Amino acid sequence: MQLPSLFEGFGLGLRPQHYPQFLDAVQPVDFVEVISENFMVDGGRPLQVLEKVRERLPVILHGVSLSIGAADGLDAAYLRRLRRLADRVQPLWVSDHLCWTGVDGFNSHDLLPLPHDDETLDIVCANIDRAQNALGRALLLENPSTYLAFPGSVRGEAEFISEMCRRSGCFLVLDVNNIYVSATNQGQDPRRWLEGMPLERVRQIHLAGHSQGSELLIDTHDQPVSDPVWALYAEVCARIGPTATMIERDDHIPPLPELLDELDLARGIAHDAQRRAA
Amino acid sequence: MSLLQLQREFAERLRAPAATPWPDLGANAQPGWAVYRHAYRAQLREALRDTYARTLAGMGEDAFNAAADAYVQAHTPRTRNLGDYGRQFPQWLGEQHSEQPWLAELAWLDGALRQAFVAADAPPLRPAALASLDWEHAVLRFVPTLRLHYLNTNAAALWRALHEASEPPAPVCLPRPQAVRLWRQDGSPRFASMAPQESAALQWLLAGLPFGQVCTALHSEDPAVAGELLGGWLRDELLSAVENGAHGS
Repeated sequence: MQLPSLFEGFGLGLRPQHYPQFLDAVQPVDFVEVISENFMVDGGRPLQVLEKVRERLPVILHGVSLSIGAADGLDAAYLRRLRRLADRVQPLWVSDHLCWTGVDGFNSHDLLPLPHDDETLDIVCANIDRAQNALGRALLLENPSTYLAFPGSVRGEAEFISEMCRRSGCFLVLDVNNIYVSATNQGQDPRRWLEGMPLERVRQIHLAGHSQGSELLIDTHDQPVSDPVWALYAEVCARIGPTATMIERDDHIPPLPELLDELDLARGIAHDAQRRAA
Repeated sequence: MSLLQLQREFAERLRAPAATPWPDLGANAQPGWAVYRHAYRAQLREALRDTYARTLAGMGEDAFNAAADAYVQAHTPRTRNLGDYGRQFPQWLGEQHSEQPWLAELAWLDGALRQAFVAADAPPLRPAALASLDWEHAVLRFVPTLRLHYLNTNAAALWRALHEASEPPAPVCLPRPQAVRLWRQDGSPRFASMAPQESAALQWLLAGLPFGQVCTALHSEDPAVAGELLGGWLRDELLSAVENGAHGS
């Protein structure tokens, strides 16, 4: 099984609004990440763009429909198609989310929460094993933003994820904004939420913006990274050292220079944090 | 409760038309439960707004959103790619708004153009490949994105006006169906209206008839027509291959 390479650097999600800039010029990023499902298609311009960008930059495949926590198992046809894409693109790694998206053929297209109990851990680990075998690669899973906790959860998220990584051999995309959103929504301190996360398994960091809903924070990916999330990012950087970091923007996508400026903020924070930690 | 039972109940409650509390989750979880119910519908509605952008422009925000929400309630998403959700939206619009048949046809154009955008690739046939062919027996193969369709309304003109943000013509039903061909050229999906001779020829050729037989049928009306059609198809990059066209084969 192919393990994720040790890769440092700063990247962006590749979005259609910015295709021309990525095709016409070398942009100051070290990698791009794409939504896997958008390229699990038969042909056309998206795949052509991806292959051209791949000639210049490493690419990460980040999925939203693997449904690794589905109690009725994984979709074999989906896994085959993802494998074909991965073999074609040769990404740095393939990732998705620690969640479920549907059951019995239903796919909600949302990242739904999982209870943190023993049965769920067994199911998730069995599904990871199947996915990693089907893909021929170690999988990276991202901690999701959650809006509720199930009464049957006997573990915290960090403990659940630690055990998941230990048993399955998978790695992590640490979404710092998701830690902030999930912890705040459950009335906890984001720094405490981070405690116990298996940081040695983190191969990539996601940064994104959120919105204030009527009662809860919502992971909207539609605005700049907030100050508390930058502060949490600095803490993570000091603890784990140089790690591939990217800004995720999926809605209200600004001109590319704005995102590149925001990425420079991440570079500066990572640099300062690591210098202080040294 | 097993995880499978929990997920089945979650899915059923997520899709239920009326928002009801889920007491088993506890009082603290109710606002979060409402977030998931809202996000599920909002995401699917947004996918329809994105795919059917000209239909949205033609119907207006309120009417489209009402139609989209009703569609979401009636259609469980089963695809892994969000872009594929809504494949039945044109047909469903036709059933729900039978008094405005141009809406379903606008939506058909939106949906078919989106599907063509990511359909399979095939390099277009270059004119040089046709230099010395046995035309009598040649069978033309077309690019996989090509679709032949008949419109009963002026949806094609409506779509173009909405695309260009110009004043759309009044929607009307046509006295006889208008054939259109829809395909992808140089990465961009497009469509064109066709005269009856072209649609008849395309229909025969797509069914696998040799070019010679199609020419014979067309020549009975005008000998130059077949050549003109072939020239147009080459220019528009509709052809992908010729089979049985080698001399002596």
